[in-house]
Amino acid sequence: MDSVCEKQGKSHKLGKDGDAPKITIECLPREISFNILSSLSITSLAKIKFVCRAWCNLAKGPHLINMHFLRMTENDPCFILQQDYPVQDQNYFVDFSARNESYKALKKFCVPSMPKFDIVGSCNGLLCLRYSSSPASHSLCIYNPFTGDYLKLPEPTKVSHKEMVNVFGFGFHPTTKEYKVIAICFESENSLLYRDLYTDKELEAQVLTPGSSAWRRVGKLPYNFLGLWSSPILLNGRLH
Amino acid sequence: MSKLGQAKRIIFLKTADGQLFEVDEPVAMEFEIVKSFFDENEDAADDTVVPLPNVSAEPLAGIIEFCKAHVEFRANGAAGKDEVKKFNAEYIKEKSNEQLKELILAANYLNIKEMLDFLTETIANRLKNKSVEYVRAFFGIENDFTPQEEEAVRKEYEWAFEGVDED
Repeated sequence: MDSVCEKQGKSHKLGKDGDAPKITIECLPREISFNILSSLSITSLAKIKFVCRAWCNLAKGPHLINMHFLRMTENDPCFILQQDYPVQDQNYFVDFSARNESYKALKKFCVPSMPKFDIVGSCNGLLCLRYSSSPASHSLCIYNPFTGDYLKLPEPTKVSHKEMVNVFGFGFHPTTKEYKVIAICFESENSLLYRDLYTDKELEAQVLTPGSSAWRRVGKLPYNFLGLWSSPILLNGRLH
Repeated sequence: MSKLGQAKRIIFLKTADGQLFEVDEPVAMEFEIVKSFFDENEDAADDTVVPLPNVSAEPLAGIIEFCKAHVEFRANGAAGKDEVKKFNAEYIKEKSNEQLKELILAANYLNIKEMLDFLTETIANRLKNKSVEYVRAFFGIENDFTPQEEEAVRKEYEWAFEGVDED
């Protein structure tokens, strides 16, 4: 044991006598690098993509993102704000993990693929967006503002020939570990008016797991809407 | 394990560069690798020298300093208090990035969870809101993007580059 020790000791000394070899990322066990990187704020994390190709792939892979996300939910939530005045559709996020960093934690981001949209909901840093070309628009997409990835979703199944109005919710199912989009649909004579809401319309619920091709109809609802002025909230798997 | 209870036992550690360290048992037992060495060799003689072929003297001295202080904090019931934070802040203040990396490598090899967590956080703090060039230099990474590629990704993430700290 000792002789091995001596040998390694010597080679180490040789390195020290000349130019001290710098410790590079290759010397650090992967686990340590991941731990360090996952403690960074979103803003700093986004930048590691520019370091080199290998890190770009690392930042796109699920492992680092999951680790970072776990840390975020424990310590540092993040808000996403949408501003419509004075300029429409200005989006910001507040990066609380960056609050100790000496700059403003409010950052602007844009959704390049969509000029006009409403935020249906947000969950685990993902946004569910609806094209707001018309109030009754059914086109949805899931957007990750930090990676720029987005996924277009199919439109809800039409129940009849009449125009449909949908109210959407977006959330994460903790048991199946899947994201779900819920739509509550009803027929409308004039889809631009929400007046119909207060009458006894039949409401139907549909569920979509992003990634699958079609909505699943889950049946009629025994309740009516109270009003549509506040956005629906998906809480613990239930749309309120 | 039977020897753990004995008072004031000294553990001998030998580093890669051949230096012998005498460490109080409770401090040495903070090193998971030393602890399991004695767990596996229960009848090891008291003057057994534990070889640490992956650690040299400089980082080991730093680690012993850190663990000694933290063992004392715990004994005094000061764990988690301001005193500890103050010590930790002082401890890393004078450490260069290179020293930090040597420490984290050694702490990883010796398997000292508390110190590893602390160093990880420290390094992350040093990297926070720094330029990409700084991060590259810190980890000794070569930029293998072409200028065009870099420009393209930078445009996409303009928000991440607002107000970067000076290196």
